[in-house]
This record gives sequence, C-alpha cells and structure tokens, in this order.
Amino acid sequence: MRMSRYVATILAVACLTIAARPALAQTAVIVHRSSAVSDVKLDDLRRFFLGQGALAANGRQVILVELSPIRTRFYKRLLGLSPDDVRRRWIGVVFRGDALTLPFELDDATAVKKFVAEHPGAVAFVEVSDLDDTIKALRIDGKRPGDPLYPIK
Amino acid sequence: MQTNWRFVLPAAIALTASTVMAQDTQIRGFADVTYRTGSKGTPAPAFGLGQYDLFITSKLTPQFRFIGETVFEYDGEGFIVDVERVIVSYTPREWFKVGAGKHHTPIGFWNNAYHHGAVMQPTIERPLMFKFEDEGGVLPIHTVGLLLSGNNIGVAHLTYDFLIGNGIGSTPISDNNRSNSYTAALRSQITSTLEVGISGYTDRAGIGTVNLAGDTLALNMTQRMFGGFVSYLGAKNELIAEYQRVMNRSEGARSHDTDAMFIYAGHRIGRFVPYVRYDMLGYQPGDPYFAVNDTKMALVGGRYDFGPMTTVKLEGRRRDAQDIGVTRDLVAQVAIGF
Repeated sequence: MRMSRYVATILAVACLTIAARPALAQTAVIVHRSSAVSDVKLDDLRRFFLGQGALAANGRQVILVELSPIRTRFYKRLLGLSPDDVRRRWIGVVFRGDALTLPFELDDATAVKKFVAEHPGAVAFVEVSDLDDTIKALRIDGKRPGDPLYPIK
Repeated sequence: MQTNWRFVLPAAIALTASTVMAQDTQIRGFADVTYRTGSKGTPAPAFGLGQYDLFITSKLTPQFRFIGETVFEYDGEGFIVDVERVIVSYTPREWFKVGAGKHHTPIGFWNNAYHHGAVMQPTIERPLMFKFEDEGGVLPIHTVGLLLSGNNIGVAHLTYDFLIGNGIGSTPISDNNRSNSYTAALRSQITSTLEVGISGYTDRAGIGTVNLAGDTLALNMTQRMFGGFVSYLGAKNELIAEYQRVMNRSEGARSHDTDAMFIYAGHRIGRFVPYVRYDMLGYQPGDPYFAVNDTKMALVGGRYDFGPMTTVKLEGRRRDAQDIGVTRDLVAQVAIGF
C-alpha cells in the first residue's frame, strides 16, 4: 500500500513535469497591446520573419526585435534556419529595397518587452514564461502559447 | 509681453534642422576577390578584384526612402565608378510603391533578388543570361525610369512591378528615341519558401543605335521578351530555374528569337552548400541586336558560409561557346559584406 502510494506520487510528479515542459520550452511571438493582429497563420509568420512582408497594414515599417539567448532555437523551430541564414535573407530584403532596417537584438526579455510595449510597430519573441500584461502574445493557427498544439515548441 | 525673436528664431531653425537631419541612413558595402585558372583558350591564371559595391539606404520620411548603389570596378583600362542604382521611392502602403531613378529591371528572379554583392548570390558569378550590360549581357539589367510596385497582396501573396523607362541605347540622363521601354512582372510567394513569377518587356531601338556586336542598327528594331521562373529556397534545399525568350525584330523583317535559361540546385549541410548550375544561351543567326554566340555552361561548386556576410566559394566549370569551343576553368572566390 505504501509502495503503491509512493509509486503513484512519483508518476504524478513525472506527469506534471512532462505536461509542464512543453509550455516552458515554447516561444511566444509578442506585439504591442494595441495591435489589431491577434491571430496569425504559421506560414504568414514564417513569411514575416523572412522579411517577405515588412510593412503593417497602416503603412508603418514593422520593427523586428530578436531576443539573443533564444534566437537560435526560435529560428530553428520556426524556419529551420540558423540566425546567420535569417540575417543573410534580411540583408537581401534590405538590398532589394523592401525593408529599411535589419532586425535588431536585445539581450534580455525585460528589455524586449519594454521595447515592444513602447513601439506599436514592434514584433518580437520571448519565452512563454516571460509573458505578462505589458504586451500581447499572438495566437498561431488559433493556438495560444502554452497550448500543447501550439506550433512553436 | 514682447517675444524676443533673437532667441526664438535660432531655436526654431535648430529644432527644424535636427528634425530634418533625423534620418536613418545606413551604409553597407560588398567586395570579393577571385582566383581563376583554366584550360587552353582561357586567360592566364590570375587573382582578380570583383566589384567593390557601396550600398546606401536612407529613410527620408516615414514614406520616402532612398537607395543608392555605386560600384567601383576595373574596366580593362582603369578603375571606373559605375552608378548602378539610384532610387527615390514613396511607399505609403506595402501594396503600392512608386520609385523613380535607376532600377534593376524586374525581369525574373535573379535580377530582383541579387544585385552587385557577390556574397548575396549562391554562385560565384551571375548566370549567363543575367550578365550585366557592360559584360555583353542579353537582358536589360538596369532601367532608368518610374517603377510602380506592390508586395504581399492577397491570399496568393502577389508582387507586381510595372516599369516605364529609357530603353535600348539610352543613357542615365537621356533617351535616344521617343519610345519608352515597358516591363511588367507578376510574382507569387506561394509559401515562405516557394515563389513563381512571369514577366514581359518591350522596347524599340532606333536607327543608329549601337548593338551588342558593336555595329549600328540600319533599321528600327522592336525587342520583346517574356519568361518566367520558379524558386525554392528552403532550409536544406535550393532550386532556381529561369527562362526568357527574347525576340528582336527589325522593321519589315522576321523576328530572331533567343532562348536564355539556367537552372541552379543546392543542398545545405550545416554551413556548407554544394551546388550545380546549368546555363544555356541559344541565338538565331542574323539577329540584328545580339552578338550571336551559342553557349552552354555547366558548373559544379560549393560554398562555405563563415557568417551571414562572409563566404568562400569554389567552382569547376565547363563552357561550350560557339566562338572558342570547349573551355574548362576552376574559380575560387572570397566574398564579404559589411
């Protein structure tokens, strides 16, 4: 009886850990709280991070901000590309005249969220665990960050 | 209370000046060095300087932008300065942009995607069909004129370009006849990795225009071209295939048609990308404008990306040209951007 309770506890802890792990490893795409965009398709998100759609509907240049510590993981999961490959493609976009600036990097999530909160045209990505009410996290293909079916794990 | 204009006016001027000067101007550059060695019939082995390209962008106002691209290159007699692009554009919306100046003519994929920085393109040199005009290229790579364009339109993620400009035989400041060139292109970014497109071009060249063989046209000539492309640029695999048919027709004569195509394929293994490319230019004898020289080229190569703007490439090529027969060469290149 004691052994089965012990085993059940271990199993319960294991299940909770496994259930929690996908959410902690997920990356959320964030925008300004006033942004009219709340839900994007995954392929549209890929286009955006490849510089294939650089302007917002209101004609403003969208500013892309990268969080350095998770940049490699994010681009690998979303695009299958290294940060160098993404940067090269963005330089090509600037070279063609379709964008004026490259994405720029910040080193910590607090700085990223502060920038997005202060710039309505900014788009960035942070860990799901860093989300708060100063910014808005986008749904992707209808799935919220933390959802087991959220596409960017 | 009287306003002391001695202080107000300079402050107003200073404030206005700082606002005007608050533009976001960026300067980038590209350069490359090659080493080439080849079989009999090719030049002696040598190192070579590629184009030294200065590229400037500036956000003048939220909707007005500037692009300038100037190349310093050796033309056989000395270094020259070649202004490749100067564009002032007005971009109120992503789906509508107006640009005035010297553009890369929106024909095909390569000429839109890759300009004068060798580090940006997947192979050492441009495909034969996209050689620059001063290298004997068959296509109008640059056009001075007015470009209307728009990106990312609708569910098909369409891009359109319509360019009216000075045409064959013109200069950056004048046209040699009253006919303009017209280019129309339509592309669809079907997915984030797959793009397809078509384009068309028409122009008239007048009597006395110098053709690519160095002769002058004895008759007025119409040049039309149409073609298309498909490009797939995935995380691991790359494929670009393009085709253009160029139809040169002298007044009262039949059309002489040239077929120009290439196909490129690459596969990424970490930082290394082995690749192949096949080019073909097929002319009709008697073409009034081109220097007829049917050419086929196959190359095998690889590039290693040390960083986003630092790459080394190595290629082995076999070229079969009508004028000099079969030649082979080996070319290495280090290309950078800054």
